[in-house]
Amino acid sequence: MTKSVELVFGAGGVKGYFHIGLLKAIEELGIKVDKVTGVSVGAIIATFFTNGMNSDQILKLFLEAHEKSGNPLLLASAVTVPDMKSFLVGMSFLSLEKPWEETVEHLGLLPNDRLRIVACDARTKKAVLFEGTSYKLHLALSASGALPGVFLPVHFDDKMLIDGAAYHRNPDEFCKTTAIISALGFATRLSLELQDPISAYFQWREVYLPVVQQPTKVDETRHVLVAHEADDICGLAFNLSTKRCMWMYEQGYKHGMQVLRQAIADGKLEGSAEGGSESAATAD
Amino acid sequence: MKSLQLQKRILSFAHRDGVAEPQSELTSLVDTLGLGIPSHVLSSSPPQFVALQIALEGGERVENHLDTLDTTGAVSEDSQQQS
Repeated sequence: MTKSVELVFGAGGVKGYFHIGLLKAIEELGIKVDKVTGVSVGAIIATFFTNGMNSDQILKLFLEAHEKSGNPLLLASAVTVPDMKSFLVGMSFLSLEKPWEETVEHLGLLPNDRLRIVACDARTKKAVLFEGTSYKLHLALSASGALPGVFLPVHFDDKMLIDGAAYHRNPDEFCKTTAIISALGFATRLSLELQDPISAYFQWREVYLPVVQQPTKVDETRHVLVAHEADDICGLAFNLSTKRCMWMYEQGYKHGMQVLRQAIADGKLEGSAEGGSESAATAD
Repeated sequence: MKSLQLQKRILSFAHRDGVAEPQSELTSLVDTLGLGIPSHVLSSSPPQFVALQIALEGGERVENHLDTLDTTGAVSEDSQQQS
């Protein structure tokens, strides 16, 4: 019987396409995945995957959503009048709660035993985990992606929760077995691709004034790290061309395939090192 | 048609007048079109998620199938038989 591993999808906004490419490689290599931990965009992909979607389906949904992401009207449902405390933490008028509540309901997504979502307590900066089947999924997803300065925090019990990346971009410590860690790097230079003013601002901010540049280090003796690099793409560059998104997907697949094959050869993972190809087949 | 629009159309089809068990309609759609949707998803996921899977997996084939049912009147005949 093949031993299953855990999977961690780290934070990184639009760079989540790398995760989807890696997921494709995992499927083709026949690696059995048990629990999936997700932070921010990683939490979204973890939710789709543990609800039963495969990489092709997730890619298709992401690309379709991406086509609409340039529409500022989309932000309308996120605009809210915050209480003073929330505003002082989030410095924003945008809340992810309503859009996620609608999306979770509309897509029929459920919390489940294979899913672990990580958010961060704004006051203590400690991790807050959403696990099991009895929490409100839209709150967990909203909290995990509530990047201060862009989105308002989420009230939960007596806490205010913010983006799990403020705790750790790739939290591996909660994994009980060997895990594959899909880590998305930071933008460290400005993009040469022409961007809209909002994306250009976020790019500038991630390079020069990062809000969330918290720990990224993972235990490589225990886990398999797949580190994806795209130093000119910032997490909030939602107006990227589809070509660039597909490039990230392809790179995630190729690099993931390379690292995972090696891990199988080293006996760290179980799977078929012969599986897969050199290029990811794209979704319809 | 985008997947989310198609999902909506599939849900309307499954919940049309006279259908007692929308979930069975979705399962029968999966069987008719031979879509590779895991049985545990069909049995334990909410109808919205099953419809989304059908839309993502079947795409144009589902659209054409629903168009055919619309034009041949099969949908309304079925509805009448069941009601």
